[in-house]
Amino acid sequence: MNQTTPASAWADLVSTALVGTARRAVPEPAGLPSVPGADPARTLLDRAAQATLQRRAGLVPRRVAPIDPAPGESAPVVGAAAARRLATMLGGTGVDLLPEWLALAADTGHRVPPESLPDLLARAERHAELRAPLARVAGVRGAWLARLNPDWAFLRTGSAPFDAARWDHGTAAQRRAHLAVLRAHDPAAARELLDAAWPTERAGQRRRLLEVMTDGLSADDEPLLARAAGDRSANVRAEALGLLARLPGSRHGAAVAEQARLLVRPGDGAPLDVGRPEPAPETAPLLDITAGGDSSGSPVSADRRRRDLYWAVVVQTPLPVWPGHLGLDPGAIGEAARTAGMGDLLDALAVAAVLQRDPVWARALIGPVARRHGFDEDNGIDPRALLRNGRGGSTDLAAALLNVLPEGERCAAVQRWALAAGAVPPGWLLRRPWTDEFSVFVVDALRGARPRNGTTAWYTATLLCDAAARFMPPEFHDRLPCDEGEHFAVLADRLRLRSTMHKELL
Amino acid sequence: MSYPAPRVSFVSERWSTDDVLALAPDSASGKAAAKVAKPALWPVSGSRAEPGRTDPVVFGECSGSGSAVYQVSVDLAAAGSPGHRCTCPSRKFPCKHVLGLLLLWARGQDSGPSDGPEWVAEWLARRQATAERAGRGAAKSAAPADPAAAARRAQRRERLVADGLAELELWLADQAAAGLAGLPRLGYAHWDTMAKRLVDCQAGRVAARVRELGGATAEPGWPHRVLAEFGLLRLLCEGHRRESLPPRLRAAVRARIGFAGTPEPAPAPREVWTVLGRHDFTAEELRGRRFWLRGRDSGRTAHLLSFAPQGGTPESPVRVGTEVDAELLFHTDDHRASVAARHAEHPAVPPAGGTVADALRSYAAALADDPWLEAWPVVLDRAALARDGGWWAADPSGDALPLLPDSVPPWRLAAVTGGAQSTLAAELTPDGLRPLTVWDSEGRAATL
Repeated sequence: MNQTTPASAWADLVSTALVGTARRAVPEPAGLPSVPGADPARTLLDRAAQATLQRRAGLVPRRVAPIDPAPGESAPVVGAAAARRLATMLGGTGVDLLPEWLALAADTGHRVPPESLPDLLARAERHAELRAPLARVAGVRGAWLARLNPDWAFLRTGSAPFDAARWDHGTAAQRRAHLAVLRAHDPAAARELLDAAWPTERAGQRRRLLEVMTDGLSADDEPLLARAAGDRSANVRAEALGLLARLPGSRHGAAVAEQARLLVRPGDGAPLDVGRPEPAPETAPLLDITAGGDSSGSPVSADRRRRDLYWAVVVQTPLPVWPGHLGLDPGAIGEAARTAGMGDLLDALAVAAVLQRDPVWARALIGPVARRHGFDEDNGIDPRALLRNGRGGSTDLAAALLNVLPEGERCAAVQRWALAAGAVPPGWLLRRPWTDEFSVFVVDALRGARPRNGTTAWYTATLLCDAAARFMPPEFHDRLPCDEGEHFAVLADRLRLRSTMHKELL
Repeated sequence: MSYPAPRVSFVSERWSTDDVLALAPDSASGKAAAKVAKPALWPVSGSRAEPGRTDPVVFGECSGSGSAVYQVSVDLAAAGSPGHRCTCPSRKFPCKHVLGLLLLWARGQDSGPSDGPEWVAEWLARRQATAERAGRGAAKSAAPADPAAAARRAQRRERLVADGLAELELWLADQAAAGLAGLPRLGYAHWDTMAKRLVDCQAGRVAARVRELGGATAEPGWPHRVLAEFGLLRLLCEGHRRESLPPRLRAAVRARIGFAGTPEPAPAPREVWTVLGRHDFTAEELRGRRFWLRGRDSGRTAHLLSFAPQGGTPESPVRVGTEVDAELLFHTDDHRASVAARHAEHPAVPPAGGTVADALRSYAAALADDPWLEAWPVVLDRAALARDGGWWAADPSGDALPLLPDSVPPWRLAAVTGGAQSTLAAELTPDGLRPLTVWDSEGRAATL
C-alpha cells in the first residue's frame, strides 16, 4: 500500500522502538503534528499512533491492471436441484457419487455452477480420476480459472504455454501435471523433456512420470520406454514393461516374440512344450527384470529370476504371435496350458490379454483361468472357492479379464457362472456398469437368497449389494425386496438417490 | 392457538440450502442433517402461515431409529435465529432433525402448506405465552432495582478502569523506553499478565487486544504491528482521560475499552435494510458472526453481531442477498444494532456501490469517529479482480485495493465473476480488503 507518511519516517519510528527510547532519540517525522510531553517513550507511542492513523486514513490506492476476464459460455449451467446436489456432495455428503454426477452432467451437455469450480478443482488436484470428467463440465469459466493457478494445469487443454519454471521448481505433482499438459499438445516435446530430466529424477518420480505416458501411448514412445525398461529400479522397469506391452507393432514386441517362440513351442505329443528360459543377449537387459535384485534391491534366487524372466517374456509377447506359432487357437492354447499344469503360462497369457486389452484372448482365457482357480462352468462352481478368493486373490485375474469384454458379454458370463453354481453371483467380479438383464437376474438372486446375518450367503449378498449400489442401473430401486433385510433397503435408498440424481440432470 | 390459520396461499421466499447449513453447530451436524433430509423419513411435513407474518412455521414428524417418532417444529419468523424444537434427545442445538426438516423444506420436498398435527398449534401457543411472559419480565427488569447501588457500582467500575489503563500506559511506556527487540523471547506470559490485570479492572476489550499481541510477535513484520498497536493503545488511554471529546469519539473510546453500549431509547425508524455481507470469525474461544447492513434510504451503516460458544452457531438474524424491512435498535457506542422488529424480507438487487476513492473516503471518515476501527463495510461498483504478484480489487478507473492475506487467493470470487466487473461488498481493514459478497452478472449474491 502506498502511504502518505513516507515509509522511511515510519521505519525510523519502528527502529527507534526496537532499540528503545532510553538509547535513541525519538525521530520527528515531517508531516506529523508535534506532541507535547517530556517522556520520550510516550512521545514515541503518540507519534506511532499519529503515523498509523495517517497511514490508514490516508491510504492511496495503487494502479493495478485487472486480469483478463473469462470469455463467454455456451453450455447451460445444471439446474437448481442438480446444483444443490453438487453443493451437498462437495460439503462431504455422498461425495463418492461425484464422478458419476460429473460424467452425467457432461453427457447431458451441462456445465457446473461457477461457484463450485474452486472446490471441484481442489478435489481434482488430489483425485486424478476426477480430472477428465471435470474438464468436460468446467466450461469456459473453469478453463479460465485453471489458468490462474498452476496447480490446476491438469484442466488446461489446447495450446497452454509450458511453464519451464514450474517444471524445474514445482512439486512432484505439479511437475507431473505439467508433463501431462505438454504431452497432450506436443508429445515430442514432452518426450524430450522427460528424456533430458530422466537421469536426475528419483526412482519414485521416474515411475510416476512414466505413468503420465499412459495417455496417448504411441510407437514414437518406444525408445523412451525402452530406456526406462533398463532402469536401475525394478518398479520403474515393471511400469515401463507394462507400457511397452501395450504398444502394438513395436520393435520390442518383435524381439520378445523371437524369444517367446524358443521358450514355448508346439509340443511333441503334448500340445505345448515349455523350454528353460535363458536371457537372450538382445532382450536380456529388458526382460531379466530381477537380475539386479527385487524391488527393494535384495538379490533373488536363480529360480525366482528364471520364473520372472519367463513371465516377462510371455506377458510382453504380442498375443497374435501365438496361434500361428503353436498352431492352436487362443482357447485351445489356454486349455492346453491348464490341463498340462502350466499355471504360470496361463496366468501370464491372461495378464497379457488384460494389458494388451485384447477381447478375443480375454474371452478365450476366462474359462481356463476360472477353472484353474476353482470355478467349473460345466460341473458347477464351488461358491466357497469364490468367496475365499474374493478380495485381492488370484480370481482378480478373472475379474480383470471380464473387464476387457464388452458390457453385455461381461454380465452374461457372470450370470452363466452363477447359474451353473446355483449361487448368488459374486458382485466384486463386476465393477463396471451392469446390463438391465443382469440386474434383473441379481434382483431375483437376492430375493431367493434370503440371507441371514452371519452366514456366508449373507456375506455374499452384502458384497453384491455393495457392487449393485454403484453399478446397477438406478431405475431398479423399486424392484428390490426391501422387506427382506436392511441391506436391501440401504441399496434401494442408494439407487433412489442415484435415480434422483439422474433425473435432476436431464 | 385459538384462531384458525388463514386459508390464503402465501408465498414465502424459501431458504437456500446454504442458509440452512449456516445454522449447523458444526460440520458433522450438517452432514447428519443431509442424511435425515429424505422425504421417506418424514411421514408428516409441511409449513403453515401465521397471521400477520411473512415467514412460515415449518413442522414435521421424523421416523428416528427404531419406533421413535420425533416432532420437529421451526418458527422462521422468530427474531434472531429461528425458534425451533425437536423431541429427540440430541444435545446438539439445533439438532439434525431441525436442520434436516429445514433442508427438506428449502428444497420444496415437504408436503406443502397445511395446519399440521395438533401438537404444532400447541407448541405455537406455548411459544406465544412464553414470549408474552418474557415481555412482561423485561418491562419489569428495565428499571434498576436500586438506582443508588447501581450508581455506586458504575462509579467503582470507572475507578477500576482508570487504574487499569494507567497501569497499561506505564507498561507500554516502559517497553518503548527499553526497546521492543526482546519481545518475541518473552512468550505469552508477558502479555497474559497484563491482559489479566485489565480483565480484573473490567476493561475487557483492551485486555483482548493485549492478549492478541502475544501471538503477533511470532509473525514476520511483527515490530510494525506491535508499534502500531502500542500507539493505538496509548491513544485509547489518552482518550479515556479526556472528558471533552466529541460524543461519537467518546462513545467509541468507551466501547473499545469494554463498556457495554447503552441501547438507544427507541429503535431507528422502520426502514428497508440491505444485507451487504457476513463475516465469521473466532474471538477468545467464541465463534462470532457479523452482518453489515445499510439503510436503503438513510444510508446508515448497521452492524449485527452474535456469538456462540465453540460447538454452537452464532445467530443469523438476517441473510445475505436480501433486504429486510425492519426496525433496528442501535447502541450508542458504534454501529452495532439489533433487530427490534422485523416486518418482511425480500431478495435484493445488488446494492449501489462507489469507486475505490469513495470507499477510502468513507473509511477515513469512519476512522475519525473511531480510530481503533478494525473493519468498515464498503461497496465497490464494477470492481474487477487484479493481480500483480498479489491480489487486488480494482475499480473502472484502475484504482486498486489489496485483498487481505487471509482472503487470497480469491478463487471463489474469481470463479463467480469470471474476472468481469461486479458489485463487491467488502470490509476495509488496516491490512487490506476482505471481500464478503459479490453479485454475479445475473444479480445473484454469492457469499465469499
